[in-house]
Amino acid sequence: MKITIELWGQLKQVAGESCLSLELPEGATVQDAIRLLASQAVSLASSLVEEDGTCRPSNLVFVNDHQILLSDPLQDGNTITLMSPIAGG
Amino acid sequence: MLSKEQLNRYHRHLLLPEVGLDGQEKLLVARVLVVGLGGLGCPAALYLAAAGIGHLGLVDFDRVDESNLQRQVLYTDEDVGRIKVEAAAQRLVALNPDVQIEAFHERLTAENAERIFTHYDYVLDGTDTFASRYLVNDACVLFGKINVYGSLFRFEGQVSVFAHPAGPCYRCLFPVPPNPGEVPNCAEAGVLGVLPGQIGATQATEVLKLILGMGEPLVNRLLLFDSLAMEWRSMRVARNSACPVCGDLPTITGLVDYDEFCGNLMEPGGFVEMTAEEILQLMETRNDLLLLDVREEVETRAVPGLGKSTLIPLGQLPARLGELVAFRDKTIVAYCAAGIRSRKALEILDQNGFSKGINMTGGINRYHGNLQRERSRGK
Ligand SMILES: [Zn+2]
Repeated sequence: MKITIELWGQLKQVAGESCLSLELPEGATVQDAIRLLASQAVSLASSLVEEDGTCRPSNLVFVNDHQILLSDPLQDGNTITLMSPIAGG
Repeated sequence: MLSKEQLNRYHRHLLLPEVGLDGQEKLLVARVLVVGLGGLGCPAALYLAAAGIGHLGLVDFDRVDESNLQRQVLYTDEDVGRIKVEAAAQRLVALNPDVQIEAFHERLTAENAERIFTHYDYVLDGTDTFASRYLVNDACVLFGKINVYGSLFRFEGQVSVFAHPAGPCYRCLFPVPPNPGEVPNCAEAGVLGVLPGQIGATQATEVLKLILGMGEPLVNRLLLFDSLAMEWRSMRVARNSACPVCGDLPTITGLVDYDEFCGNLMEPGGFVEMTAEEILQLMETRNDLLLLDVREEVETRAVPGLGKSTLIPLGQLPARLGELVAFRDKTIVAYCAAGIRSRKALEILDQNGFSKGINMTGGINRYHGNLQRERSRGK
């Protein structure tokens, strides 16, 4: 299935683009998608996953503009919004 | 009862049935605290004052710097070097004499937050560090204030209403801060000058809506703004029942050490930035600070340091670390002319087990520059 990834905050700046797409097997979860993205976009890896492979808890993750659990399954055509925290004022 | 002048001043509000006389009277007795008078706090405070918010508290420890003027619209060129809350109070009272300003020229801390928050109902978070975001949030949850949040990064912004009885708090969304030094601030990453106008004005809109009880406040929503795509997005968010501060079984029942929580004093390069004026203020209450001047000796003859300091020029620091061993448990306040060499010094110190450091932002030259401007202003 095809998943769209939208990046915000520093993730977008590091990646140099705001929109990416991923091809994932049926039944893949949000966490699987983030790990796959980290393996494909090396510049983002350390911002997305910890050394032990778990997703970084400081990032905000939405699917189709709603909060989700990392273990939630994805559906074909879903959009994952990944946002690193920002604090500027 | 509105005076004749007030009927005129607020005429365009009075025309709106959603505001009207009753609403304007609510605004005139409302109590709003603006924390941080930077990019966000400036436009927000301007619109809140213009709208006739009766009691406006302003919190900021800093002074106006030339690099602020690109976006901090409360200040003029002549204000450079002035205490921000003083310059801001003067400007806001000139805009609307109905507004009573309470100026807090201090950094918001876990120690003073309750005193500063106590007389206000709404807190507009215009701060610029993760530590202060968590502090403002926790203080709002614990003291029962509504947190009208906004933040910026380069061309992007976020707005939400946190710590409202019907929605989440900042910690519900951001349970864990990023690693120190990982996310650059505006001073490092830059910010489009008009962006804080859009975000700060949106925060001010939310404050007015909450006071007037009209419309749909940004409770349970996080609004994202991308100025390049020129797009606003509204994300659904919800309270986390396991949130450590606003959840069902809270574990945070008092304010904590937010620099420690965000790892600011512990991690490499994660030391705290403070201005000379702030350091002087801190020295009044702390006796565990060591002032370390890392300029060359010839520079110290031309420009005096900040009180009794240990002088070790940066180039000699690695070889002379032994002289500092006795101060390993103290907090080292490093400074130089402009704040660059002292950062390097703190990195060296950190690698050698001196874990607590403060860097003097802008260095000693900025401090003397401020003093000089103040004198020439005849203060
Ligand atoms: Zn919460």
